[in-house]
Amino acid sequence: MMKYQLKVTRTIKVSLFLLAIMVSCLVLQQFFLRNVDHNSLRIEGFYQEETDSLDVVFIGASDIYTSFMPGRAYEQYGFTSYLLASESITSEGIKTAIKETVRTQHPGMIVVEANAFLYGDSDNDVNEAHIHKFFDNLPMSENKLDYIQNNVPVDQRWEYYFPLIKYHGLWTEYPERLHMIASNLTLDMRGFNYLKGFRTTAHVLQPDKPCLNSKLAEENEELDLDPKLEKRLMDLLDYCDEQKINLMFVRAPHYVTKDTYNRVKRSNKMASIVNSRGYSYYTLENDAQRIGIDEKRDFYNVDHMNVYGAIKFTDYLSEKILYREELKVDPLSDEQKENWSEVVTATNQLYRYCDDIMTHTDATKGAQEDVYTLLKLGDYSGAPIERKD
Amino acid sequence: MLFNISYTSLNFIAFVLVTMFVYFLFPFKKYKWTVLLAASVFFYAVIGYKLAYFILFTTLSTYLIALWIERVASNSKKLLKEKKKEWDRDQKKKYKNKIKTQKRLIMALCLVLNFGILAFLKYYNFFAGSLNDVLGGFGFSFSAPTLNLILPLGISFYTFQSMGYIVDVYREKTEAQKNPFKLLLFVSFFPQIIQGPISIYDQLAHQLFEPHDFNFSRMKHGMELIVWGFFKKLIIADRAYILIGAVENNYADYSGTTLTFTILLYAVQLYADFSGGIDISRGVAQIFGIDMIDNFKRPYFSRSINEYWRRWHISLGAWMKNYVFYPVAMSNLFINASKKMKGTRFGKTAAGAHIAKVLPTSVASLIVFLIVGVWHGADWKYVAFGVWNGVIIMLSILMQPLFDGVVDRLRISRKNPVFIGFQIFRTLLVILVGYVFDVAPSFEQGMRTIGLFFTGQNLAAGYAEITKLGLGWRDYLILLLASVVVLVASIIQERHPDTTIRAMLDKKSYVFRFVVLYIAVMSIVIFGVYGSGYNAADFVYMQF
Repeated sequence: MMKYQLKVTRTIKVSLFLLAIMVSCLVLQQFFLRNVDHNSLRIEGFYQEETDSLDVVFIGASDIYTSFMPGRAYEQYGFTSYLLASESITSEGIKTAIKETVRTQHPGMIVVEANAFLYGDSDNDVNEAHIHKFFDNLPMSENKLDYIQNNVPVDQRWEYYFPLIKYHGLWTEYPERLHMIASNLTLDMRGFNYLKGFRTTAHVLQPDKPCLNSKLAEENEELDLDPKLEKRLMDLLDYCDEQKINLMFVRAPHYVTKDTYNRVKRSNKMASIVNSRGYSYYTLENDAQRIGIDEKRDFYNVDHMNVYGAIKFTDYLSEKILYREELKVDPLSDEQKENWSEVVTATNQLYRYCDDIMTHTDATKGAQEDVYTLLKLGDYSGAPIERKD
Repeated sequence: MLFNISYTSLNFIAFVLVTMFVYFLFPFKKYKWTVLLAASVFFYAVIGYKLAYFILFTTLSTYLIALWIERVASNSKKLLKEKKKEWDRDQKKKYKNKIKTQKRLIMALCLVLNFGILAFLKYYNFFAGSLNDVLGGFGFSFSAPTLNLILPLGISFYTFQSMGYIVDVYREKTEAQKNPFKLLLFVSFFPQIIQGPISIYDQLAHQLFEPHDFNFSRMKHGMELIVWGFFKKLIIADRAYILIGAVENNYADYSGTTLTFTILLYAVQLYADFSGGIDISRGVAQIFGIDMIDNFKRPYFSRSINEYWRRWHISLGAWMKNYVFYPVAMSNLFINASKKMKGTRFGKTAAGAHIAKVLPTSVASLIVFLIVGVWHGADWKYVAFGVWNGVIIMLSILMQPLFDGVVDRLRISRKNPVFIGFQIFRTLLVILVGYVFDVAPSFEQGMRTIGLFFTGQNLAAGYAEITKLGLGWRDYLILLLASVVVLVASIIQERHPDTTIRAMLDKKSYVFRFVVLYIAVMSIVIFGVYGSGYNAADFVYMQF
């Protein structure tokens, strides 16, 4: 009897200890030693969206989350959307994002920005930082497990199951990181992302190389994709065929120079491949001038547009999605409408905040879903924007 | 390596847990040791499968030769018994000597084979390079080729351990193992294969083969020891290595102050790394009911360099004492030399008598430390490391009466804390000079560093350099706090040498133990240097 009692007591004591360690690790991993950045806030926001509440989901890298403004699209064109995007997302990341979108949203349309497939080699697909930036922020699911099992070397898998292994060293970045933790907590409490994933930088590019955007409308030459990336594109299209996903591709405008000209040719090649499989591909990089993108004012760096460019791109692409792709827009509940009106206000405030910085200062400031930016937005009007064409 | 299964990886923890479950649930008690064998083979296959034939060769050769020695011994005994009445004393003595020579030759075959492999793989390029330098110096154009040789993991440890076993069989201190798989387990036991300790067959083998049931207390103590090992390795050693590694990469560029700081930090890092690793090994073994010898006894509290080597890497010291020191010191050559010296005029003086008495011991010490130095690596700097320690020990033995006389004349009590502190400080300085040759990339750089200790101190330059070597102020704070924890634990242990801190902890309340262990584990989780965000250093002693 005594022996049995001793065993029970020991089991309870050991269990209590292990439980305390586990709970502490989970709390640290979830809140304090987590690599919270704009990618995590964007991805977390996606999972906060009500099931089947989005009309369009945009998937891609910074090329899309700095270019498309969901708040503007809702305000002007009435459809809801979200940017499930991550910095330099890999081609496998795109596929997983589509799977996650299908699992959680069933939107009328999924739009993929082509960047992940246009690299000259497949190095980006094995770039650990870029992989982690997306996958660390996905909640555990069959799709995430699939990715880990099929793509991550055995040695590194623990870091995906328990990100604390990778990020425990972040304690050295306190107290500087506190504002990101606060941003994460406020997002958790609010329950939805104000900007629906949009992020920008308030700056006007001062180029040191000539822009070739004016030539792009005429550019029809094609350059082969990297074989590995082409194979992944084909796998992706096969998957979308299989799942009957309403998918379209887009290439956002860039400040194209001689150095980046080959990407345009690869984009043309990708358009041919995608079109031949029956999917739309909008080469808006080639159409930058037609959209009205001003190379002297609408970029914050050679790869990204600022809010002046983004608003034009958003309007142009929204029209294409709505009218040419015949997007079916679902009605919203009153509560959803209320949330979206806050999104519209925040988006318009953000535009004015960036406009103010770009007009009156030489500063370069990131503007995104975080407490620093959101606090400043209160100083600006949320009324509809009139584009500066 | 098929995948990372180093002692500080989660894979290793998972591997130990799985082995533990299989071992304690294994239904055939008599064959429980096979679980440890399977785990050890798996572990070695994962970390070094490409060169696993070396360890298999060592095991097989040791196994066969041990049986051979034993057979020769038993046959000779049988014959002696049969001829007990037939042979006179001289005949018996002659026969015994013949058998002894025969056994010695067989043993030598094993030693030559296995130490030969070790020497060739570890030292061939060193000798070839040195030979080329010498020949080149004399204007010869001959050049011995250097080879692309890879050392099998743990070769020094398992070779020393196996050769210790063969010598013990030769000395008839232990019986030859009849089961080759059991010998393979002794040679390859996974908690010790990477960095020791170098176990003695009689002390370890029977524990490996006995079936052990699950024992909560042993398991708890084992886990606590593992946690303590991780604490030292991940919080202190691997953090300190960030700076040391950075200095090692561009050693010649740094000021004397930075190099002095690096050597000091290296003393902390090396102890935390090696003793931490050994604690993990011992902790894992303890879970399975196996007590491995402790390799450290607070070495930096030593009052002499001699004592330091009795407290540092104890298993290597014990091996050297058993298998090198005594055979050399007790050899006819040295005993006769000592006797001869005693017979001279100088030997009749007090100093001469002392020197004659301690001559075998001091020369044997020098030889032992020369071997210890070379054991650490194939480089002149390691030779210098060995010579430095050996010479200091030799001098301290030879000059002991002089030191004692000075202390007596000055009427210093040997129990005086200030005197003890002085002795510890003096010993530390000697140790640190030895470490210079460990850290410096070459013998020449080592000598230059020692010069810089005296001539190259520049606090401003040192501060500017040290702040750019990868550690921030938070890291230094953690290093300091964790080192203080280790120091306090060492002081407590030093004051209570007959017990362990774990045993002391057992006597405290559950809440107290809970808090202590919780803080220890969470400190490792948060402040440990691990994961791909860091380039965690391999165990320093793995390379030996």
